[in-house]
Amino acid sequence: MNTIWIIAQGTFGEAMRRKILNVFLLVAIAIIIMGFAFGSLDPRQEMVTVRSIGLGIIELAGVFISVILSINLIPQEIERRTIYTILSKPVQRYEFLLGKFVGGLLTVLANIALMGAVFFLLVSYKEGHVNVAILKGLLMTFFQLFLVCSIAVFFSAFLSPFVNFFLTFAVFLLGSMSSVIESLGTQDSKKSIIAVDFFKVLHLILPNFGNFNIENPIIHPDVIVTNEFHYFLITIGYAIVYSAFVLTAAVLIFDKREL
Amino acid sequence: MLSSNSRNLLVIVIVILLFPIAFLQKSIDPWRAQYETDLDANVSNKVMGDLPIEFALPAVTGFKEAIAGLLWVRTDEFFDNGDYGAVIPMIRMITWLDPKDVDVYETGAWHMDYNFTDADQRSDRRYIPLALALMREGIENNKNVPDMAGDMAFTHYFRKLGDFVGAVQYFAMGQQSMEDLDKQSDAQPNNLELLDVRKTGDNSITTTSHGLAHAYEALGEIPQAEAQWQYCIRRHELNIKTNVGNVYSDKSSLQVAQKQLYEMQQRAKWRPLDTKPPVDFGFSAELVRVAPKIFVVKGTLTATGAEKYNLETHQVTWGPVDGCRVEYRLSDAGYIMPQLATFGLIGNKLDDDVTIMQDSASARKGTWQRKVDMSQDPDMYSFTAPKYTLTFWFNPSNPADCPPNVQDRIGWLGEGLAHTKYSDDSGIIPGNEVHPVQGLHLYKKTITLTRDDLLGLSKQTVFD
Repeated sequence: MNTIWIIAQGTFGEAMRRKILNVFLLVAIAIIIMGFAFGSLDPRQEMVTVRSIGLGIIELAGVFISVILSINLIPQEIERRTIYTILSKPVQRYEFLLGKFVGGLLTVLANIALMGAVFFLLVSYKEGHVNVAILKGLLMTFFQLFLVCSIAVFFSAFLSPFVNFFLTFAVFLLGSMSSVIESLGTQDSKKSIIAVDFFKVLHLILPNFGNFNIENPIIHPDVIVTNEFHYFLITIGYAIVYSAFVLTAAVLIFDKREL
Repeated sequence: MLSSNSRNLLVIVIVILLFPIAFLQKSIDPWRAQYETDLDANVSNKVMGDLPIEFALPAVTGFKEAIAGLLWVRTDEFFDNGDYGAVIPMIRMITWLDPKDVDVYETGAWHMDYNFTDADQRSDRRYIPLALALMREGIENNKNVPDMAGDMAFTHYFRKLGDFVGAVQYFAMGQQSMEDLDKQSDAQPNNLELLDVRKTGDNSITTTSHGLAHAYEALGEIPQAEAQWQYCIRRHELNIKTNVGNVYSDKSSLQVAQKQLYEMQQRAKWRPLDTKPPVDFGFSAELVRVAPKIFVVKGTLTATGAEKYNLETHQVTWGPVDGCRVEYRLSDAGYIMPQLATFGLIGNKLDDDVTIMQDSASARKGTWQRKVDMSQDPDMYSFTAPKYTLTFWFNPSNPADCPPNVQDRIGWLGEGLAHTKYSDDSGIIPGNEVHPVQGLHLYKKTITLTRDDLLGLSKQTVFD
């Protein structure tokens, strides 16, 4: 565990120095601030637009940061040949992979925290009270990115960064449309049973990023959600179990990979 | 490198993990309805397919509400340009993207019911079933917003359709939703967000609960109306005492409720006496064709009402009064307003072959008259059916057609109107066959017209 943590710390330090990620972070923060100007586009519900744009930007920037960071975590080490130095020490391959993943995750957490803090403070200032609901949205966004990172790391165990980039985004988009896939899996007279069963299975095994989209009640404060804590618990559980699933697969593949 | 045993173990772990993943997803699915709309797959797919690509991609990644807001701005532009056909698909997309935006449901349905008009500002009544379906969906998706049901009751059933049975149903639903909110809030006293929602909900007493009392009164159900006004008074007093809601507004509304209750109780005392003997308002109606699709509707209605009335002492002066309205409706013979199950994209296409025109005219000094020009709007009035039904009626139960000082003479349901050849006790108000009103006495005249009658070229052809 200590080995994983040391690798994670090194990865985090290195990632935070990467200019491209910092550019994403700064652009996102700028758009969040500018989002307050977009509110006037929909004068009836100014804060609805502001909250929606802010949370959306944090999610989208978070996804870009997660993907760009995670797809390079392992290939970069191979390209620079630093992996050989590390693996020549008493470090198992799975420890290296998990350390890289944890380091990447810490970087994503730091980025989310920075963007979230700016957004949280601005919304609270604008609304004149502390908006705790925003923090719930940030928490769920983090666990969504947790899943994105684990999938990107899984693909990075056997794919080039270029292919990985598009594949991870494709999975993210598909997984974000989970409600559409779920509705395709409902029986009606026009659909064949095979198609319905296919979409049912697809809905259950695809990583459903839509599960983490809880913006609607945050954006509309008059919406009451029952047993929210329970929902958060099972959704976070889903992110952890799903990530464990793909990371275990990644460990198996990476372990066999010719370096 | 992992040992063979470790690898086998990991393979087993991977296979086993698939089960909790599926189980957790199954557990999450029922909860998702709280966060996104639960629409038929065909509608969802159609909406996604119809969204421009620049909107579709952000919509699936967490920008749904922002995209909905931007599309709503665009919808306003379509409305301002009179492009009504484009407005409805936009409303479908927006409410799919953001099912909690009550503003879109309320404003969208209001546009459909009132603002899609002909050259003479008469609304296109073919949109009413769509507006009702949209509001039903909005209520279903926003059960804890009492104003949604209240708006359905007032804007659509009470004002637009004059359907007080439907209005009672939805006002009561809104009031129930308000009480449910109170119970939830009482059960979780530390939930400040819920308290905020409750405060907003409790402001609906003035609209929803007062509206319910008015709707009961319009149906002549006076004991229920009285009980409802007393309920409103109790709720306002409680709100003022517990400092929930807007205290200033509650104090003002409390006075209104007390005044309404007092006046209704007095009227309930005197009207059984005042409505005797029955009075004949001399209702008549006729249609004059001026040119193809252009008509003059006219007739008589000599309303009698209280010129002066002291409700406390029952000192009253009866005389001829203005302010009543006669309604008229022309529609394809046999047309009955459809009840749409859902506000879907596919079912939203209007039937271009249906012609419906409805309006009203004010009676002054015993006569009423109005020019009806349907020649400017062929899209709205296609006149493709071979036969049409034209109905004129005077509805004493509708406050928009019969002011209270006239009701003082003829009662809440027209029980003081003398029976004439135009009397109708079916309780059915034209255009609303779903909810007949028990005990209602209308004056109604119905004429069947052929297509040639309406489109003929000769002037001054009179139907009476």
